[in-house]
Amino acid sequence: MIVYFIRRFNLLVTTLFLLSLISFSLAHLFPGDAAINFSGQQSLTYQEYAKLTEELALNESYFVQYIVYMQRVVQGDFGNSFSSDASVLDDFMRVFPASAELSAYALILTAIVGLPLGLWAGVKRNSWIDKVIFSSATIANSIPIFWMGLLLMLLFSLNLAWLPISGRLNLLYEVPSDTGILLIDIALSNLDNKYQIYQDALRHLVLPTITLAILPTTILIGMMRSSVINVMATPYIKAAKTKGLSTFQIIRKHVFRNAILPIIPQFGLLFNTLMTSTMITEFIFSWPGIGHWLIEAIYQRDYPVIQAALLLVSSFMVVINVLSDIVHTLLNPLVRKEING
Amino acid sequence: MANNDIYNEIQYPGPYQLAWAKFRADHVSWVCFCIVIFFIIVAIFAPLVAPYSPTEQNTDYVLLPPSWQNAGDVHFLLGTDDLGRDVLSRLIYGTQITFGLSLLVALAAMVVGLALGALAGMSKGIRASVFNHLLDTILSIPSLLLAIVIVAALGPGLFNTIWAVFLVLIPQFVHRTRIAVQNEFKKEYVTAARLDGANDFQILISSVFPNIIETIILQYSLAVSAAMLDVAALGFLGLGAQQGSPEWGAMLAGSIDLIYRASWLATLPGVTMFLCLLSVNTVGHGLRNALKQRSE
Amino acid sequence: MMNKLIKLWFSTLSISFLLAGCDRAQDTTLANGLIYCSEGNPESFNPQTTTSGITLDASSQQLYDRLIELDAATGDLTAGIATSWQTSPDGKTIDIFLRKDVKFHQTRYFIPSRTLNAQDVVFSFNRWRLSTHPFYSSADSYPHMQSYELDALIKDIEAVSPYHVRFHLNQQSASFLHHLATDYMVILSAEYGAKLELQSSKSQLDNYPIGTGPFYFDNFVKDEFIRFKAHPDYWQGQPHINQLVYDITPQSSSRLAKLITGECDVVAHPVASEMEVLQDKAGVTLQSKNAENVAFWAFNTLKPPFDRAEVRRALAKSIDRQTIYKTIYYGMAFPANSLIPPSSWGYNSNLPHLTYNPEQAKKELRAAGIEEGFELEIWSPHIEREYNPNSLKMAELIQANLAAVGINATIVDYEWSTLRKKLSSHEHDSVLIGWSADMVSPDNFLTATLSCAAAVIGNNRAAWCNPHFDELVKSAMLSDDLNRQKELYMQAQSLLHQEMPIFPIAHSLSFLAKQDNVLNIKFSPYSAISFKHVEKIK
Repeated sequence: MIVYFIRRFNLLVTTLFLLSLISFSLAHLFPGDAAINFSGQQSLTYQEYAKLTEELALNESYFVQYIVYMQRVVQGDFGNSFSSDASVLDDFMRVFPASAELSAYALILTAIVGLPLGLWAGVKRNSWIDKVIFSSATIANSIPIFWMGLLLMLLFSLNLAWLPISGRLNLLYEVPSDTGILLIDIALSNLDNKYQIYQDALRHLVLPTITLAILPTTILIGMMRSSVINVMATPYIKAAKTKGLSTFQIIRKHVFRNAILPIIPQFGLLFNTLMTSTMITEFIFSWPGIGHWLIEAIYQRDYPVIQAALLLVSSFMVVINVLSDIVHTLLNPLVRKEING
Repeated sequence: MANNDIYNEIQYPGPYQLAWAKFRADHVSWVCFCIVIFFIIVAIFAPLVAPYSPTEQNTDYVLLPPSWQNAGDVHFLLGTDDLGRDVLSRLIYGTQITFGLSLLVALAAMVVGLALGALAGMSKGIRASVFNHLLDTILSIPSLLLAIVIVAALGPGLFNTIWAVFLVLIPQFVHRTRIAVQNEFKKEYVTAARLDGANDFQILISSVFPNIIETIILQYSLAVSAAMLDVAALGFLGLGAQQGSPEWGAMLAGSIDLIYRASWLATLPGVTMFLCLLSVNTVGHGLRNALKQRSE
Repeated sequence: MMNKLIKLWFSTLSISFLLAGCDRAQDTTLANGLIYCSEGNPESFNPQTTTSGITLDASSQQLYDRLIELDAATGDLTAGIATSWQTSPDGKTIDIFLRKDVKFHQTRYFIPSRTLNAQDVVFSFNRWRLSTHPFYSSADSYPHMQSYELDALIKDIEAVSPYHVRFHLNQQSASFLHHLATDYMVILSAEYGAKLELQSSKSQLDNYPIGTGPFYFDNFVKDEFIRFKAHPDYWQGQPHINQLVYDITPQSSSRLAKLITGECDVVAHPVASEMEVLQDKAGVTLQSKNAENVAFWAFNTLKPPFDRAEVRRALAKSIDRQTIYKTIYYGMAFPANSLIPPSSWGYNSNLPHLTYNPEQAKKELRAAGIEEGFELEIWSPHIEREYNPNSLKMAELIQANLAAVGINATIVDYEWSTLRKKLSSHEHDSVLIGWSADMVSPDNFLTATLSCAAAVIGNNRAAWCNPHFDELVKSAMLSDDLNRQKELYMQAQSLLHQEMPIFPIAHSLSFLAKQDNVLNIKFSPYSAISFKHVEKIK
């Protein structure tokens, strides 16, 4: 077991090292001067520039430069944004909770919709209900998410005028940002019209959450379905059936739990899909999160931001992937046995 | 032994034929396969099929609705956009870009990925471990994010997008090939071949590749669909194909400003893209099912 | 477990349906605030440092006051912070008497201890006038003042008494008072400046602004919003709304959609292509302003082959502007034949018309040594400007026109402030941009865009410097005789026509769309948008 954790940890460290290497080399690969790309300070006097070059060790070998870069990264110094002149880390800390919040709700929605539907389809394999669920999942899977977002917007906001289309909250409401997670911030605030603000925040959430959840949901349905089909074919289910348990009891006691376990390591894949969709969803619904931030940074050729975003987002993804792997190991007795045995 | 009884010759279908037969038996997949073929033909013969050039501006016919509407014109079957360009022709040329280039780029990634994957599958020790780590790194970054970063480094543009998608697709092929090759090398027939004196390379070409080709084709269908989505998404975000290019995502992005006045400009590229993606995905599913059924 | 899951599932579904059905409950926050969907990020909050319309819209009229204001309807100068002013007989000394009890903003970063006085006026002018001033170097340039060479015009500014300022000019200038009424001549707080100097955080002067205007600055999050609050002690009386928020929405289709869903009360530059839809839409009103602007295609004359006039003229001939009027402006623009619009008295109506002649253009290009397959970049902003509703589409049209004469054009689109930054370093081949007039006098179209002074500070998009042209415009500005002025402007325009550093495209009407219940937005030529008197009826 310990060997397994050491291996995972080793993988994590190596991967993060490689990511930092890529991120480091970007500052040299991007157009323009490396000193400016690293620091984000554009209007420098000659002395300042010389001092900066010194600080970043740009006259030294790449190895030394990399060490200096890593020291800055560890201190949380990612330089300043070209366009806002604010610290990149501050900007990241502002946009990250917004993305995390949206992704979390989408993930919950995915689980709430995806797991039961996948289960249902799997249990009733090859029935019409399976076909309906499975083919709608395939169809939904083939709709480009940006088109889907547009269609939802067109229908629910512009034609029916039910829901707003942009941002997290009506901008006239001023909610102090303590945690960055809006629904918690509203609760913490001392505003007297909390009820209206909650309502407004939730109305803003509906369309982005649905848009974001569609793709992962279709994937989860597929995973759950095939996992359930595998479980249903196992001897212990047959045994349970011969014991005279009702289908419902079988599903409740055996199928659900056993079908979910093999899905957990694939959670990383689900999360990847979610992150990709987040970029586009945020762009369409002007949701002030990482995707929106990164895409604006590309429009503005804001290299320090792009560089930092790559490092931070992908490190985050790697950590999530490794974590889901470990969780799976801890939860699944079969895998545990394999590793120990 | 010579087979003299030529009349009662029994033909056993080969494994490919078997899979093919299973695939054809699935009507939905078969129809989708035909649609994919249709798109491929359109992509190849776009200049012959399209009634107009995608950039030709018929300034006297601006914002014509599709011809089945009252205000439409039969000369412009699917209407025209705000610069008077024929939408049908643009969609056809768009097939060439979004779908055609995706097919090609996935093919290129497949070839490179196959070679690297085979190498990785056969190598052992520290080299393999470093290589696998590198692969895991790249695989853990969402492909669109990676493509966006590559485009950010290279600068926006269709050519750079294609490069980015190419680089993004390779690791997936490497991953699949590596695992497949490793599995095959464990099998007994490989040991048998080895005992016959075959070296690794010969085993790879004559024994392993024929056995993993189906996995690769499956992965190819996934890659094509991923490539199309990435190319179109980057076009839509304004980071891929240039404004005005008939690339489907870029067409969609360019038409949002006209969504009230000329909704067909946003609908048609979306529908086309959906149809194409759906067909590719369904063919992929069909293939997987056919292979599974055969092995059962 | 399963039962619970199923229950959870259904309850979540029903909650989401309930939410979707809810109507927006009105509370006072929404009724007392206004959301203006603007098209981009301001570069700073000080109009002295820029000519970008977005920055002016976000700062000039909201945060600041000027000594003198311009009445847009009559064209007269009216009292601002100055109650009265007097020009000496030789025109070289101007006495300005200030209003008392003009209060500065009180914000979380600055609490003023005194009201506005002559020191503040001196500080505001010296800031851009004297290169020795502590705040001079905290901005890159002062484009308006420097292209008009106002720093050279003003000899000295003197605070005679706390409410009396005297300007000494080097020479007589008819337009000086009009300059004082432009968006750029805002009055800053000297006390705030002193405080920042002590803290040695000088760049805050422009990014955390303190002024005397109807709203004070609260918060700005790039790419998201700017929040202003009503200035309770505003000398003209507190504004009717408590809060003014700029929702930064670069995509024009999103702005339109947000107007329709009610997320924006006012939107900048509604899409020209959807104007017809908006005109018929209940609950939405359009406000327009005259075409005191010009869209043009500027060639970087520092870069060969664009340094040769024959190349530029040939390129101009290859562009089909009729199509542009139809497909980009939807008929809401006048063809431009010169930089100055035909409505101005300075317009040269005798200029030969620019004609579309691809055959001729092709011949001239070949004669000038531009071969088939020549590569050219067209830079274009991402967003609408009042002179150009869809710059990228226009670039596409031009690209197609150029292809017909054997030139491969590439469109490079930049976000607005990135574009402006890149343009001032003159790396472009050509750019689609324009100019909105900020003064009534016709020279405004020529000086700020094409003078040598503008080329030096990087505001001249063609980087074109022609001493003869400068001479003509300067003498016109100095002349008393209207006919003489006219003649000089004619000559200057003929010279432009000959040299073609920029290819004029159109003078466009520009629009603002708003909800019916929003009243009294000041949206007029020669100045930025103003929400000073805005009201929102319930």
